[in-house]
Amino acid sequence: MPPEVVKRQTANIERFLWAGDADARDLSLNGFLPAPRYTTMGRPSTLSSRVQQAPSIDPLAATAVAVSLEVDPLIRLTGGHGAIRRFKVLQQFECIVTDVLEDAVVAELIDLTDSSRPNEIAEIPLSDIPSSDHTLLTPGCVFYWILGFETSVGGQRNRVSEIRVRRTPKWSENDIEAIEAEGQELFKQFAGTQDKTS
Amino acid sequence: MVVDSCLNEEQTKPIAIEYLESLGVDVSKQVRLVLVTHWHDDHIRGVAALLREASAARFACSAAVKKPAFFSILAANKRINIVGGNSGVSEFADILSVKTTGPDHWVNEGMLLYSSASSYQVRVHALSPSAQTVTDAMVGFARTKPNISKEIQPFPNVTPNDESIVLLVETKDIHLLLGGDLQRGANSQRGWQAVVASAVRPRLRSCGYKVAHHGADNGDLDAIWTDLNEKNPHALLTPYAGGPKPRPADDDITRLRTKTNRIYCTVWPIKQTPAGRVVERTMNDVARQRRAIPHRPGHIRLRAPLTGKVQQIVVDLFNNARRV
Repeated sequence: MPPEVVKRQTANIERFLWAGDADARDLSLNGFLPAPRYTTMGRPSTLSSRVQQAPSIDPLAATAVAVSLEVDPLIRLTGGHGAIRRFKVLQQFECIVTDVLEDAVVAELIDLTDSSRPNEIAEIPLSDIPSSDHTLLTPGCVFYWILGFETSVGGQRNRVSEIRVRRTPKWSENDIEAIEAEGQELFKQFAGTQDKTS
Repeated sequence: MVVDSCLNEEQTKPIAIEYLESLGVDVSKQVRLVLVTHWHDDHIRGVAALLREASAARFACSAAVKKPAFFSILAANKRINIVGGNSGVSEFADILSVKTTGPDHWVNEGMLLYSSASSYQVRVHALSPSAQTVTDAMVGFARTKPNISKEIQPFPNVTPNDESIVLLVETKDIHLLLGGDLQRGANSQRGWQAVVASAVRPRLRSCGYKVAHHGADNGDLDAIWTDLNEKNPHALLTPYAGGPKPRPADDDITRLRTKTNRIYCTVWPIKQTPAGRVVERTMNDVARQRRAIPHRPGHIRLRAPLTGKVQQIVVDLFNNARRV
């Protein structure tokens, strides 16, 4: 079956750079598709720390079954040379870890699909999070939880839950020096005065 | 005086402004003091907006944050733009954009924050943080601030909450104890243990107590009820849904019921709007437990004449607030 051009929205596509994730640097369909910009609870919420405009699309050369795709955020569409996954996203959450337990994390879930729903707190077992991400789990870190249906090549539909921890770069020496210097300046500016008694 | 802040149901306005305006208070002139007990995000949201409106108000915060390491955290936070919303650190930075010369009061135990000039006796005393806590705060901030081995992430709330301010509001016959998020304390020089042991604390007992740390057992001490409160005080609870265990938990309520039978809670657990059958099944397969964080804040109001007696206190409950 000849490969077909995969249709993809090019306008307003945001790209992620996932530090350390070599696959994601390949910004064709071997990586993660970007997520749309959204608003949560009236606050602007961004999913990317660095954003670039999308390049033009190259047709797929693989012999995989091509599909007409909508923007499916944060889902790895192929593991390499296999068939493209057909994934329908039903729900997505942006999750902030509040506590790390022995075998689970507790996180606040922000509903990216329906901002009218209240945020939730959920306790998620570590067994449901890729083991390669476990060392990244600390209070304050962010992960994404995507739920939906995956359709196999044979047409079988399965419920799928995928969790992906956001990778961020580490503070550099220059960052730390600049932060310490600015911290000292702020301290002098705001804390250098005596208490103003009434 | 406004102590701590959260946002209204639409998350657009500090709830204190909404409430005071409904009473006909001129926020720009009549609010004299805005105090944050500590910088955790569930206590500080909206304070910057409040200070913009309350232009005559002084701003007070814990002396424990008067440390270069805390200001390094503020500097680092400006460089983080990962998650939407506003953390406690971001809010504190916003406050400093309003209060450009810094806080008016760096609060520690023994400070008299307000004394009325009129014939009505009203005084506001700070009972914490203790001197030892202020000295030791550096350790907590040093653990939190960025270093080369750490990833760039939002800053978690620093625990324990020993740096929280506790206030005693004194009137002629009615006194109120506002417990913030203060925890028990590891020894007699920290936390509630230090408050009880303090030599400079006014020896007054309160009839209304804003229960510390959302009713959690680590914010409780028998001496709070025997030494700082009258028998059977009005106990006001503000729940916290985050963390591994929501507070107050059932065992917290059981414990508090042995101290007083007048317990009021601002917010009750709510049922989450289902996300769709398939999603709910999948989420329940994965998550061990889930709970919704209520949007709609409840409201407990205690009212009495300024020269009134304890028996004259009237308790009103609004929105989601209930008596336990």
